[in-house]
Amino acid sequence: MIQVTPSSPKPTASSRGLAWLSADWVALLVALGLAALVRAGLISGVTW
Amino acid sequence: MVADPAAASAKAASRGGSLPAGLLSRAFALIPGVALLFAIGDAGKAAEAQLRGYGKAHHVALPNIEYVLWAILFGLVVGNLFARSRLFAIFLPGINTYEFFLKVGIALLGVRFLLGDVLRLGGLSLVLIVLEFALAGSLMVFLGRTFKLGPKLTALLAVGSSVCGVSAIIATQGAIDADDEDTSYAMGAILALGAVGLFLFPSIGHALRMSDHTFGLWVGLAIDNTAEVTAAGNLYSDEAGKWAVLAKTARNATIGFVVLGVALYFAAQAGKQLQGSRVAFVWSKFPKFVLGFLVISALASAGAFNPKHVASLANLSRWAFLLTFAGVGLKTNFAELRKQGLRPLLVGAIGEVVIAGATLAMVVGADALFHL
Repeated sequence: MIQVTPSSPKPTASSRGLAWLSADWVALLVALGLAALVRAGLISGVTW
Repeated sequence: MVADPAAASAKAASRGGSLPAGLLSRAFALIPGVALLFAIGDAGKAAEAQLRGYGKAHHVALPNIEYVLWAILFGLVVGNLFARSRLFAIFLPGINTYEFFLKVGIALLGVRFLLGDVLRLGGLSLVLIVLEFALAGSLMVFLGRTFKLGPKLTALLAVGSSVCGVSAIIATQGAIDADDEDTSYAMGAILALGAVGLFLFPSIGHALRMSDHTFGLWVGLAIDNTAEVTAAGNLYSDEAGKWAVLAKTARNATIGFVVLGVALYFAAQAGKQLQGSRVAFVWSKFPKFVLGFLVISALASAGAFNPKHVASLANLSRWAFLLTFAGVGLKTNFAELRKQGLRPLLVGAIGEVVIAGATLAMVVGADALFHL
């Protein structure tokens, strides 16, 4: 039986896929970090 | 862009450089482009304020052109005038971070939602997404066969138009071993149509006098790329932008399931089997920043933030989106879009028009039933 891996059979696809996933985690951590800093009062009065 | 950390560290080691030094130099490489995103975004804000101020000072009724549109237009001008110059390459690493800022902005936007609303409208969006995917999938397969496109290109267009644009196409490419050429055709078609939709949808929404909620939900379902959804929603109104992002985030959350379904179909066609856990596969494709959106929304709903905190986080989200809008303009290159094949674009365009009409009918129907 031939087996195929469900993802990243090509270097280009795998590299783009990984970049997307790692950026996801970093974005999640940055957002939670900003929320924590605002909650702690270390960032305040952000205007628009 | 260096995507594989192991390869990056091996490369750095082979050059005799340490990983922290490599990371530092990569971080420095981002500065010019991020500064350009800031400059263009801020110029967009200034242009809106200037025009409004001029109208007031001279008692002239000028159209209110939102900063979103200015930022995209300035980005388009700069990007299309200078994309081929050598100097522009210095800015590219930083410009490419605009999707990162989009994800941070979406996660922070959670502070403006009560978790109950997220679950209610997110759940409703998921129901509509299932209908949309069934429609988009069948339609794209029919159009693909009519216009004699390959099955993989057709699948990429179907996934791109029904789930979430470019990231869904990239995830599917890896899963079904599609050609780079097919992938770039599908991405080109989705990006070109997203650029048109960005300007067209708000006009249609105003012509139909749609409410912020219904317009936001429609845009979140009908436009494919998250950045363009966010921009089109905010072009309509701040409130519509908020609901557009929620609907699109629900759509993004389905990416793993859809890619798994497509991968299983192509594996079965080739008489092969998928390796490994399917749960792990779906998780690997799940956009993790959505968790940030849910956590921040849950914290806000639980009263973890006072009104000043909420205002600061909401404004940080707006700033992150501003950089995204500048990036959308800078990265939309008309010369590149013209190079894409006509048939995939035609299939995408016909599909998008039908999907836009169908999702509009769904949203209007849902509004009548559930009073959005």
